[in-house]
Amino acid sequence: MRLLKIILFLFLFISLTFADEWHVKKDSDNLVKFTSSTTVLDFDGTTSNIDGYIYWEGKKIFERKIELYFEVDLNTVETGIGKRDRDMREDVLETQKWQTTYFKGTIKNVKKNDSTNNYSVKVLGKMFIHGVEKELEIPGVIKIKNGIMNVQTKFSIYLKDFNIEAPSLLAFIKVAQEIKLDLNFNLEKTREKDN
Amino acid sequence: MKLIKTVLIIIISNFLLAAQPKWKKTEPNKKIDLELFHATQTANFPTTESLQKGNLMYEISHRFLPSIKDGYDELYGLDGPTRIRFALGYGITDHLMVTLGRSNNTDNLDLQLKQKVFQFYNKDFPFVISIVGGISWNTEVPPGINRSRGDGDNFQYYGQLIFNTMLFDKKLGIGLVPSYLQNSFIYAIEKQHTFTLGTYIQYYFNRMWSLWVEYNPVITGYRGRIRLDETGTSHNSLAIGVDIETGGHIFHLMVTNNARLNPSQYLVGADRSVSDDMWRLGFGILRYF
Repeated sequence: MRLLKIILFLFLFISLTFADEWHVKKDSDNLVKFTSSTTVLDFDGTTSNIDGYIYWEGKKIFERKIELYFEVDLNTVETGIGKRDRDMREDVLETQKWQTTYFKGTIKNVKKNDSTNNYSVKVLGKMFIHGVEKELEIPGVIKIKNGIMNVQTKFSIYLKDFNIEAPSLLAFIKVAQEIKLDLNFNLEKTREKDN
Repeated sequence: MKLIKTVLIIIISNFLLAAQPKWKKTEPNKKIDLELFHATQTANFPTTESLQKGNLMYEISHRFLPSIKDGYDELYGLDGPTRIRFALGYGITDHLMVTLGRSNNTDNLDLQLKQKVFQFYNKDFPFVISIVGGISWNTEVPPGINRSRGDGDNFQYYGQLIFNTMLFDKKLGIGLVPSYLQNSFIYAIEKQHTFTLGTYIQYYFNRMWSLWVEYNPVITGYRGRIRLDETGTSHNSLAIGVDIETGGHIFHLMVTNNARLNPSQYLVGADRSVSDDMWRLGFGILRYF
């Protein structure tokens, strides 16, 4: 009888466990862009190849136990010049060793903007590039509309933080240490209130 | 009792599973082309590398005619005169490129297509095979030659099979380029042909510096002069040099016995013999954009 009570309790408990999970919508117009500068020109590299999820528990959005993880296949980043892409893969990012870059963390602060479904967030987590994991705090905006969660963020990383030697872009002109990142991608809900 | 335990285990398992993300990592699926040598060509030969679709390559090459042994009076050959080649390449697809070049040696215009045809993915012995087909038009009509610029005898045709491999953790590149040239000497009454076996090795010390040797023995066929004002025969070509690679540029610096630049001229052989100590200085610059 006692065992039955426990089972009943678990059923009840699970029925109260809500969880939301959103996965990157791979067939949408996702954009991951980096901008690198030299003294004479800037150049961009882009890819749409981002994957990952946002997960939290609770009835309210971003209520508790928030997890997020996003990764990018660096072999898919293109700058528009094949030779430069190859140099970036082989000599700078060394993608034969570390093909994927990722960010994993949690949402530290959430601020809902007015009456819209827009949220200003601060994300705290670790970014992995070139074999090095570094803690970062990243600002962003999350918009939810028509069942799609859009994430936008702009931030900078520094090559030396990830043991990356700044390459030369033109003969003997070094790329700047600061790399600006600009992400704009969509997620779709994969589950809500699983049990 | 056993049934109850089983139900309990299932429920607990479900609960644990529900309390974590269900996202699954998918393995990256983009297959990168095999990229062996660092450029679409060495100083004198094509490699199996191709331009990305829509990309451009510009080449400027010089071979100084005086010998290094002429010393300071000729600035070791740099006073000239000089054979010069300009070329522009374009990526039609990721595996097919076209190159148009011009040399001031008989005002030779050269148009060639290069197609990557096979890639063998292997950690220890990767290799790639490409083919080249080209046509050259010698637009200079020397005095005493009674033919028009567009005469069919001024055209030469060639084909090359390129085999490239890269060994020892992408440090040592090896290339074999069997080549066939038709109408080797455009002033010959009977059409001539030349078959050579181009060979090159290149050792990459780091991302910037590499050392290379190229050898192009004539296996069979014509190995004479290519200009009316030349005398004697041609010789097997040898070139030794360094490459400096930096940010989209590749600089070839070399000594060589062959001052001929365009493929339909280079393939006939060198205009000077190594044994005569006729080493000349040369350079090439490639720019990718």
